[in-house]
Amino acid sequence: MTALFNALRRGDRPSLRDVPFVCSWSGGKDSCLAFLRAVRAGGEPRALFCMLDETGARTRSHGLPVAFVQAQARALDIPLVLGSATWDDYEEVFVRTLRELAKDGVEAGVFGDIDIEDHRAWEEQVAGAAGMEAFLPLWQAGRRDLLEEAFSMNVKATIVTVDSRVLGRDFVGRELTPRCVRDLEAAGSDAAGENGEYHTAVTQAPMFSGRVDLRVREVQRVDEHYWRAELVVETPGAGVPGARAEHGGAR
Amino acid sequence: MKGPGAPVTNVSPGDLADLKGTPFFFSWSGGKDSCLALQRAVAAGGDLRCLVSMLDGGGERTGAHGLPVAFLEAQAEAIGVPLVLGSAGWNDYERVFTGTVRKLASEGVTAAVFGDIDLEAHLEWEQRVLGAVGLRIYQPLWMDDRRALVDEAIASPIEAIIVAARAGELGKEFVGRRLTPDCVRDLEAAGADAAGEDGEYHTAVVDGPLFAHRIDVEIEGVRNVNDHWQAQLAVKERSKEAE
Repeated sequence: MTALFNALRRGDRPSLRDVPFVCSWSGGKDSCLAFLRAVRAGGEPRALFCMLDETGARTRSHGLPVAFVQAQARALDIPLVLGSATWDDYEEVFVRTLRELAKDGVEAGVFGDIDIEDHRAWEEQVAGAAGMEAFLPLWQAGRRDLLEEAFSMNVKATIVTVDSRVLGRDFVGRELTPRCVRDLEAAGSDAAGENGEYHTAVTQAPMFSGRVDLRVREVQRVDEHYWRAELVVETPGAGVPGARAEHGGAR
Repeated sequence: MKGPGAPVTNVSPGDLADLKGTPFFFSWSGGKDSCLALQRAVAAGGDLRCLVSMLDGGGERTGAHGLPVAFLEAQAEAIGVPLVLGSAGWNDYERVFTGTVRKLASEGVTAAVFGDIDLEAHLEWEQRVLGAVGLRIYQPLWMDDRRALVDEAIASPIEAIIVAARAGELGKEFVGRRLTPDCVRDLEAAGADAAGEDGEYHTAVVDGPLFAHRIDVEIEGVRNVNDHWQAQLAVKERSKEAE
């Protein structure tokens, strides 16, 4: 039994089959790939969970406008649960939210970390505190392999922040393509940006009912180190049209 | 200077070099050739905007493959792309298809991708109809070896089920079989082209690298329609929708 749980936790395999899960959602490629692997493993997606900064206007990790992650959730047709916290009460808010989800029958929390042990330990702890299993479908996966997986699944992501210590601001707003990955590596970044060299926003992925368009209004320096895209979300209210409505008349 | 109406024909439809970054629609049958061609178009960096499927006059099933709309919708959902449906009898097929394509062109789509292998008549028709709208045509499988394509699809791995077979050449028992190396050997032994390019059989793809998840289907029966065995395919509800 312990072996099963360990395997489950590490994403080795057995299964999430029919297990209701919540996916920790940054809006970037890794959380999206983790989500897709969890679905592939047979998990039953119940919610996306995204933490916002203390103002509630932007996502905590990638600085994306709330409207953007909302548009992603609509495209996936999965409820989005938002938590708003300072770094001081981050864990408290996180656990409280997971507990609420657990009450509604969610049994697993899915996280998109690849190899940062501290994150995994924290995620196992907060999931455990809420009575859930933590599931890390990308754990120890090859970073290049994950990018290949994203490309082969037609996942499209745009770079929205870069660490100026490694990358120039001209990377902000670029779509993550094989060519772009070569340029990132040539500039000295980890291909997948696992060390925070860059963050992405996913605009297209399997299960999306339509593309979530974004436009970069300007690129700003947000702190000592980071360049960030100020995004305009192109389709905020239009909803993401279903299959047939797409060409039914909106335009 | 490509205005609508100006004929645009690319000489080698199998060359995908300038598909990169190009917004395209895919002419989607739901079968293995469509799926493999789409994978190649995506790998070439094409910008997939939607799948276009043509239904028979009744608007409930695709023509040759006889796939129900619900199945095409499940495929589009798993791939994560809008599905655009046109419904036409053979008389108004060209008119309806052209209307659909014009609308897409007005929304910025500049290329059309098909999964034909070597049917010159199809290509000529496509070039005429789409050239008139100003769209370029790409055929990622063009002139490839049919048997090699089947092997590539299976290895990909694309999971396809035979959903139609030409009665007289193939027995009813082929309908519902998964396209595996064993199945391909049996098809060839029965005298069919391995790829079914001549219409000996058609498939429905239930899983592949572009799919978020497998589509669970059930074959509720096999009918004989115009001398073709045709599966009555039903999509099993996924748990999320079932709630």
